[in-house]
Amino acid sequence: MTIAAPTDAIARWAADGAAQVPGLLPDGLAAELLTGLRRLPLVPTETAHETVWAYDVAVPPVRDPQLFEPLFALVAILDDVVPTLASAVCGRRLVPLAPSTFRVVAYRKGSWTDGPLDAAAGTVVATIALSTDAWPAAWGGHPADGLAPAGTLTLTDAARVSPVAVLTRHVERYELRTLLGPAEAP
Amino acid sequence: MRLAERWRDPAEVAAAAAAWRERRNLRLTDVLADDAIAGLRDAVAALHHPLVAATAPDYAYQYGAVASPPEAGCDHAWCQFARWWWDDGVAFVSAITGLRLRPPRDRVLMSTELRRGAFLDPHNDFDGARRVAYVLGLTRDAWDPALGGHLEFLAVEGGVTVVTERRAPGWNTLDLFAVDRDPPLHQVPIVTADVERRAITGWLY
Repeated sequence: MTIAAPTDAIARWAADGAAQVPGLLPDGLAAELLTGLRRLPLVPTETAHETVWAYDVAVPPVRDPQLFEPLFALVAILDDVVPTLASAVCGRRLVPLAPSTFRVVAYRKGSWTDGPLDAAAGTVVATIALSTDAWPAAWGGHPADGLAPAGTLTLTDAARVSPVAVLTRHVERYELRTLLGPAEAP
Repeated sequence: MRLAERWRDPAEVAAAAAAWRERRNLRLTDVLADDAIAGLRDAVAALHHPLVAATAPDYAYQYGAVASPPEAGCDHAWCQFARWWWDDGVAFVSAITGLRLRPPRDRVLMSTELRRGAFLDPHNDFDGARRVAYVLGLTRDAWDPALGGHLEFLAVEGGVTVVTERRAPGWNTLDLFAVDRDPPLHQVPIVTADVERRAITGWLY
């Protein structure tokens, strides 16, 4: 599976250090993932830069048929498609900092972020939207670019503040987050 | 640890007791001696308050909290205050409320820190055993209630929840309200700014 880097995403990254690529996930995968991942026991997680509900997932290298099958489709995308796409958008070679792992992040009432600002310099945050629910921006919980359709990839320079205002109502949205870093020189 | 000088005057205690009898819900001011409240606040602020949270459809809340009973012989301000509170403090509240109150069996004291994103959804504290809720204010700063973090008492009027009374985070204040019968519905609206509401909170039995 390959997705060409949209030219508007390349331009947006160059200008703002952030870009979106819609349609990263194949049809239906976001819905499948959401069905399974929202049942994980997410815990309230706080840093100096954010408060969200989170659960860290590590997918084993050996395909275990007892595991939630959509995870394996996701990991292939996270480990191969996302780094390739991000490298094209960001103009430098990027690799997953922790392959086959990702963080499920839920914004619930009380959640907010200024971005994972404690990540190392040069890190790119790759976020994949899973939710389809929508609510007024005044309730908070919206990313700076607004709620993205499920399956959209958002790339953000980790040093860039990308605020999500405090979510003040009982709605929730889910996203997946993984970090990309510079590839070591060959 | 000691009360402010004013509470040595029986007339002050009597006036507070009269106010309690009227509504079973009041705020006392200038509760502890100045050096006592300042020392307590500084000691509490130095403690890490890990996030605790629960989400809908259960009763939802989110805030930082630290809780532990006093250790015998420990001279940390936390333990000094807790020992004092569970003895002299309870006696003081008993004198004002006219109730023979006692501490929780585990003598656990809790400090709360409400920061950005923190809230307590509407609830009434009733559990069949609690008699009086208390909130000892350790917040020096003040802010617009629109930013959240104020204690709000609620009522349902015509099917709509309305705020009947709002109390700003306090410094050296003691909010007391009965939760054994007709416990008042109350909440702390979500904090949307980088402010910090500190208090020592709990219930007497």
